[in-house]
Amino acid sequence: MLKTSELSYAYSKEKHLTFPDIICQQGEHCLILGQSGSGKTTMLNLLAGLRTPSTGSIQLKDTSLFQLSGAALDRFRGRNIGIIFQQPHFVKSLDVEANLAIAQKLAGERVNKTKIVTLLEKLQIGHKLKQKTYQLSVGEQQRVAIARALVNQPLLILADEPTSALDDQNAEKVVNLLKEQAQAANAILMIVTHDTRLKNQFDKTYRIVTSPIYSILKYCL
Amino acid sequence: MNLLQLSWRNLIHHPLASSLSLILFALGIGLVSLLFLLQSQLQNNFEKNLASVDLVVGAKGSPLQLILSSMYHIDAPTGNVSLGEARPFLNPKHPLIEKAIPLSLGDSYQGYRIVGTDQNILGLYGAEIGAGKTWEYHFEAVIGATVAADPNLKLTLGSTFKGGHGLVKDVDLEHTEAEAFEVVGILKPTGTVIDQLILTTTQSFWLVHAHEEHEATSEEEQAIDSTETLSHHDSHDHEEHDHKVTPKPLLEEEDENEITALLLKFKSKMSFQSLNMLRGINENTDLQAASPAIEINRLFDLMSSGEEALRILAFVIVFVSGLSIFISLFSSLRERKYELALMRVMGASRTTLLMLIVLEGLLLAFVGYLIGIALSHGGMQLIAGFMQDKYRYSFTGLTFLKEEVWLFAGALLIGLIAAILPAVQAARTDISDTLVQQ
Repeated sequence: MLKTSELSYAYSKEKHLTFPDIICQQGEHCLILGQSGSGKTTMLNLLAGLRTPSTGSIQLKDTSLFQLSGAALDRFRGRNIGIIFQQPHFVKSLDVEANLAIAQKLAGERVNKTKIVTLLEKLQIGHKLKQKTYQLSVGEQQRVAIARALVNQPLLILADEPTSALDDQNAEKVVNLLKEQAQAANAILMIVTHDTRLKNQFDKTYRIVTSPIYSILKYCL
Repeated sequence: MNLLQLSWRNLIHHPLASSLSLILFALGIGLVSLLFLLQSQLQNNFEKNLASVDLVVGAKGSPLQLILSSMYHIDAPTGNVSLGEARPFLNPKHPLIEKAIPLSLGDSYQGYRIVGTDQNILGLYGAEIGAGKTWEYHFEAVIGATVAADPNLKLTLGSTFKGGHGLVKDVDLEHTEAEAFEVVGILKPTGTVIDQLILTTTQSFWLVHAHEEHEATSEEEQAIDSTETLSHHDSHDHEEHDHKVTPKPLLEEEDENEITALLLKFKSKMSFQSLNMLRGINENTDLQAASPAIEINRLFDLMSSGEEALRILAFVIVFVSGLSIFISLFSSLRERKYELALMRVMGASRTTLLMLIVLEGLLLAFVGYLIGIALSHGGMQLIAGFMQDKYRYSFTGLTFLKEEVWLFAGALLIGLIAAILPAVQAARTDISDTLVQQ
């Protein structure tokens, strides 16, 4: 279960962002909608434990994220939060398989080759196992990024604008793929986007709305 | 997939950037190591051939040349001295001299020097007869282990050969008319200069050269009177049969016979005696005396300034290569900031990233060191081949020095220092700003 309460983040006195409280159960698919500059990126950073909020807390299952120290938080994130970035980035010197293996290794898990192979096959890129990531098409790269986010069976899958660059048909496909995979892993799927095409396809939708001085949060269903 | 493997992959992912640092590093390390090897082997070769000789007496000229020619058998001799002048030193009743070993130099066989001397020389170098016997009669020769092992010469017990005038291989200068030497003994290997010598009696040397003069005169005489020449030849043949007699001690030979040098060993090790005698000989006689210890130190002093310059150059190269490792790691960070941030997201701590970059620096230094050592030992092996051909001295690229262990530690230290700043920079990578676009 993911639970946030009274999250806020201050870049400066003038720019003080506050965020809606979120509650997601395991297996639920949630959407966070926000316009550019609304603080949606900050929200994603907070949820991933990449930034520390000014106030408030985030709890994932039994762990309060910001009570963990630096290295422990890194380890916790690696093991329990799978993040799919807008731009798929990889360790360039490694092939597809090794990119997944290093995700296991860095999270402190044992490298499990069969798991990697099964996962890639499920995403229909099993044959790309030994290729360098920069040799893949954009679609294939996105799938590898999804596979990497799933490889440690995380509690929470965070996706940053996974559909913004895609046409309707492909956007639909990617969302379905993400839902499917999250379902299979019984993980919370949290998509952070400004893409309003997605708004009716999720269990819960949160909106981030900002005003120039401070953000007023609104809560839509 | 551990951190070491990952850093290795990162290095070979940018082969051009890595190889520049690597080549520079390997050159620097190679040069330093080659200097170590050369210095230690030169010193070793010179020192083990000092053979407790206190003073060398020979003809006037350069003292270093006298030492090099009569103790190390490189360089040409300074000239000859008459037995009359040298006789006082040969006297067994001399109050200071324990041993005086006469040397006659100037002939060679296939690049190996023929030395006319007496059997005391064996004791000087700790040499023992391995096969056969020592030289006793004229034109009997004992060859050193290196000479015996030379596959081009195929010299064994009972082989005969003719010496040549001069110290280089040249067929034209062969003493064709002189009697051939017969190999009667082979020395056990000693690791000293005696391994590459051909030893015979002093008188054999005189006979070879007397023969030449004989020939020249006999040709002139032939033009004047053929009958006289004939009788001359008769007496000559007679002489040759006389070679198989025990040679007279040098003390009893005629004054006008010549030798090249004398190696002196004193009864006492007091250095002032050696210095006094050195000054006495140089100031009061037509002979020259030189102290091996002094001359070799002078030679090392001369070489050390050149060596110093090369060493500074080597350290400059190592420094620049360290800089190049630093620059290539630092500039790779810009390109790799996404993947470094990504690794943080995947669970790597700041320390892990720090270690990753440090490992890359160390790995470059390690591989650079290996290549450098391979270069220096390969180079040394080449030099050894050349030295063997030219001077008959044995050098080798196949020994390793303890200095090279220190060099290894130094190499790793340079890799570490070069990597530390980029590593700190990598550890500071801001993940939230890098990966999540605003």
